[in-house]
Amino acid sequence: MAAEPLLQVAGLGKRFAGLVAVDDVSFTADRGEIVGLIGPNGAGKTTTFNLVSGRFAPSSGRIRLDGIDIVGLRPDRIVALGLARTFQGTRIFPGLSVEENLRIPLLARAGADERAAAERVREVLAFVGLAALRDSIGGSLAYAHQSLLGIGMALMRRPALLLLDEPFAGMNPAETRAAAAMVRRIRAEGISVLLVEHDVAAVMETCDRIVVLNQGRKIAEGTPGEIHRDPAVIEAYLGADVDA
Amino acid sequence: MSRIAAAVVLAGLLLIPPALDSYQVYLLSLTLVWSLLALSMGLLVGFVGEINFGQAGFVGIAAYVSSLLRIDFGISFWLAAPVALAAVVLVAALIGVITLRLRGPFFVLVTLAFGEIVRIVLANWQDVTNGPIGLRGIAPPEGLFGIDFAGKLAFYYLALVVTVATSVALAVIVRSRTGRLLVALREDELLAAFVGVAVMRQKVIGLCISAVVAGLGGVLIGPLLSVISPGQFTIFASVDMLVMVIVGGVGTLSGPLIGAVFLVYVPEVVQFAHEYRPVLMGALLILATMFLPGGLVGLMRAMVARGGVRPSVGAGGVRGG
Repeated sequence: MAAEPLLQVAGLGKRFAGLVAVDDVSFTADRGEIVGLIGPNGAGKTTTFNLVSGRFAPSSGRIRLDGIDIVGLRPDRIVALGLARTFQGTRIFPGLSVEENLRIPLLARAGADERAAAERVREVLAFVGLAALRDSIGGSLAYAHQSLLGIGMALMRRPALLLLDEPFAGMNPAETRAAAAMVRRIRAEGISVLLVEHDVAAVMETCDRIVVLNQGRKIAEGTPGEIHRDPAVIEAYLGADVDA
Repeated sequence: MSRIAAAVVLAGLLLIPPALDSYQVYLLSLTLVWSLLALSMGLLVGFVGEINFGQAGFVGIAAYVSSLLRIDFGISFWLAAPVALAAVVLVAALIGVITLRLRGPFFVLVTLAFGEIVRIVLANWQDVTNGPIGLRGIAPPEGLFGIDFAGKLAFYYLALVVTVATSVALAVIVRSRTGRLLVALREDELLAAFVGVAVMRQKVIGLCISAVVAGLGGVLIGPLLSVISPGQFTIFASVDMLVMVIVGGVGTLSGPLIGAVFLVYVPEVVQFAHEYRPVLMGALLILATMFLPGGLVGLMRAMVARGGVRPSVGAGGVRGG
């Protein structure tokens, strides 16, 4: 009997005042997998991302995390079930220190053990490479460091699934390579990753499996090699993005 | 530094009043009650990130419930006060659950309506509240543990103990798990939700704590003034609290205390005509927002910092003049 996938999205739909943003999208993410969600502008990938993370409620469809239906749950409940997300660009608590930023996710969980929390802060600081900036105020950090801090906050509670919202946005090729390496290190920690990204080349290099959306519908799903050759994908991207 | 300053102020507040005349003692008691109200608003503005124009409603409920229990049922102040506080927390929790979902201007508008509803009920529920005339002859708190609270000085010390205990409790709370989560919420509510903070629960807790502090001020108002009436608990009272917080300094606990002192004593010193008070409040609010973004606390910190730098030679070079 095959184990149930970590994330199951089935028949997902979202309408905004008559506009169909996401239409009957289904996909899964297995344990230990890095899944990429790509598509031309307006394809519905960001909406899909926001539906899966619980920011918006879907108009239709099911989302199951580790077998549990998470549709309609509050964000903090979804986080408690093992899903964490980052935001486009950078989103941190700008007035708080780097350490306090990392502490908040643990404080949010009742009955946190102080020694374990301090240990986890040290681990994550080392993992994202911000140990030297522990006492800096979040808002004073450089863009790239704020972005790393955002990822660190999402990792604090050891999620089963991490959703990354355009992790390579605004990065030069060297920074993109470093960020891609970090995504793979996150997977090595036993955390599955679902990422939404514009940079198709980076997604091809980083992900095990790719889901392609266009005009709110899924048009392809497969390994980077399969996606690269898929006629529907090539057509969707023609004129929009020559990278594909 | 601030610990030493607090110790000096506290020593003064303990030792000086016996030497003052009864009007001065009354003014100090009034300042302490306003300090509690300003602290309650300061917690909301600085830590929950909301403005409540119905805060005076909490104060009014506490004042009326405690006074009515004493007058109509002969219950001791010491029993009536906790019952009144419980009532205020209950109302705050209800209001919070209903309104804290609302964003930005909508929360403010609903609190405005809440404040008005409380005032209208107090003014019109004639049989219970005695209408616009209000309640008269509210006695000082009954003696407790052999301490008599009948005199103005004894009541002052009671108000001082309540205010100091509340300040200490709030200082502990803002550093506690709840306080830190509230600060995170104020910084970025959406992000807080997605790192696992139960946003609504924390905000309702924040509002309830604020309401308890406002209620403490409320239960002291009756015995202090010996009269209470609906006119004391209007939006103007809430605005006064807000001005104290903003003039004193948002996001601190010393700010509301300093703001309360400032706003009780300034009109007293300049003998401001009472009908101009709302105008004074409005002008102060505008001036403080424009020229004192950190409030008086921010100004003092800047002055201390500048004073500390002056003796050192170097950075700024030689000062002329």
